[in-house]
Amino acid sequence: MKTLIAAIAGPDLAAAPRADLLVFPGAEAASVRARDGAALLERAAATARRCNAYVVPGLYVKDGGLCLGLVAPDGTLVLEQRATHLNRAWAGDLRRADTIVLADTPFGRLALVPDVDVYKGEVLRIAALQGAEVAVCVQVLPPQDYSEAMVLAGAWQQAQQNCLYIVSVSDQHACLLGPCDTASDHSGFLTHPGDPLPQRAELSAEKRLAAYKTFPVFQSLNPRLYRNHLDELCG
Amino acid sequence: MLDSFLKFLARSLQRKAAPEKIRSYLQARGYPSLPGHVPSLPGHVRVAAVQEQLRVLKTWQAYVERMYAFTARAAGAGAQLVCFPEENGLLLLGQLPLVGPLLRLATRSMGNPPPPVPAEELEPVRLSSSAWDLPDGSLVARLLAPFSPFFQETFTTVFGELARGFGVTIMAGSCMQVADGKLVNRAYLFGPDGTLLGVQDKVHPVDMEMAMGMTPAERLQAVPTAVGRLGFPVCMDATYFETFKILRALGAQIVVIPIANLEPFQHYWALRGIWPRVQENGVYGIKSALVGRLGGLEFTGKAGVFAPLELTPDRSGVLAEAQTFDRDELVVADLDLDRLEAYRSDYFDDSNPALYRKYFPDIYR
Repeated sequence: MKTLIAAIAGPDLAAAPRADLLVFPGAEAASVRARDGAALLERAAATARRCNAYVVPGLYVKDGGLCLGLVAPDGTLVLEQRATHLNRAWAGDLRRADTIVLADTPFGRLALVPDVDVYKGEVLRIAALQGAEVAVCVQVLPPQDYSEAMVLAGAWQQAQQNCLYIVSVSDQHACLLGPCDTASDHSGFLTHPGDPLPQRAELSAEKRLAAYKTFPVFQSLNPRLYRNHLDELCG
Repeated sequence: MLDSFLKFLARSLQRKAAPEKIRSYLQARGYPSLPGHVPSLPGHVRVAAVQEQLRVLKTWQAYVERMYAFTARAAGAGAQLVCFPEENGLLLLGQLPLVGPLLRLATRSMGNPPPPVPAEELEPVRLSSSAWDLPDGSLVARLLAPFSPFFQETFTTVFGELARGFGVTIMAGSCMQVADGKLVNRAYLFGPDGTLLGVQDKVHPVDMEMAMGMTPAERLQAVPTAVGRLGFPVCMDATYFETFKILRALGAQIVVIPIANLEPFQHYWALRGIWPRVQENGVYGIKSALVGRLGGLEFTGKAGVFAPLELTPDRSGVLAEAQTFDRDELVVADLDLDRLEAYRSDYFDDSNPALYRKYFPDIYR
């Protein structure tokens, strides 16, 4: 992994901060459903070329799936991930994917995590064990369901149990996360959910390595245990 | 010479703390009636998590009194399940005349843990079992092996008697020991009739334990008890979603995690365990903690009882938690198993077996 600058844009995309990876702010479910996915990706491509950055423009529905896309600085769509888990907002008409794909970028291997996939340990573990170092999680989280606890129970704890940097965005919050010791206060919050947009932080490769040395989470994985309980893990 | 000396010490401890002496002691002490006991409602369980400050207990009687006091306090508060911390059994070594120098010798003998994965190997991450292919006969295992029969006998006698005497289910915590030739960190569960219901060895040893030559267990279990189906893995096991997913699939309603966290207290470091696992898997969680300082080592808490966000009054996921991270405390909370059974989450519940079967056999190599 190489150090990168990640940012979450505010409502004014023209004023987006300089970054290697730029994520659009979140949107509510109705807006996501109403979106023209192709138009969204076109807007992302224009932003990517203008800002010379990788861009994740947010959730969209395409071909019966809830999707996130990654657009490269040249405007090409280099990664598209369909949600592998769905909640009631989507499950009635959309279908789950059964594949997790990663993108190799100049700063490292990146995973896209649509919506409630962020709450599934299986998803981020599969991504991490395939080499993911950075993840972008975009979800819909109605105000009555939002709390900081939902961020802790989702993107924050995934960053800890998989040693990942995570850009976490919803219609209620935005923050940049990493393993606890990548933050100066050991919280894992590089920016906080209450911080105004735009947000920007350095995702340091050296700090991630140092954090791993103090909390080498993959060293204690127990493949024999997991193989012995494959039925339980796959259920 | 060292082995012979250790065996002599171990036999001496076993003679002093013979099971019949412990039973007689406890029978003479008696078990008071409990005016504060709350009759249980159907589906409701009152649980207690012990936060236990490290002390050198120089006699077996002192050990028994300390465990008796926590159990009595918990039972007096109406608890039907009492949970003790990780390495609760090792405190029996306080009886040794040379416990200070032996502890320093043991901690010095740990040497260096397996080297951290070099940077270039973090990307991509590779799983390796080689961290567990350590030389046999580490000094820690040599030191503990002669005492292991003493640990097993004394631990099971003390907690079997306390469980029966107070009529409570006890997760007695764990004890590092040599069993069947392997160094393990073993947790014990007792029923209210004093029966040993099961043992669970740690499945995710930390790097220090791996350096000692600890063997991780390869199976988890959910044990039916008078207070529900319990899983009781150990400490670091709570860092991994796999642990709790397996236990939930085996029917666990309550997962008890005894800890002995060897690090200064920091809220977010401490959050990297049971709390997110409870949210992910829709179970109740109980954390019992060994805390305090001994031999240059610092252990911190906090003990607590946890539930899915929607099952807690303030949606924090915390039913009760210790006020301090380094003192004796007893944390008590009520669990509603019927409410847990009915609980559904629009965020955590969805499942995709096709995805898991596609990837897990390959990535867990």
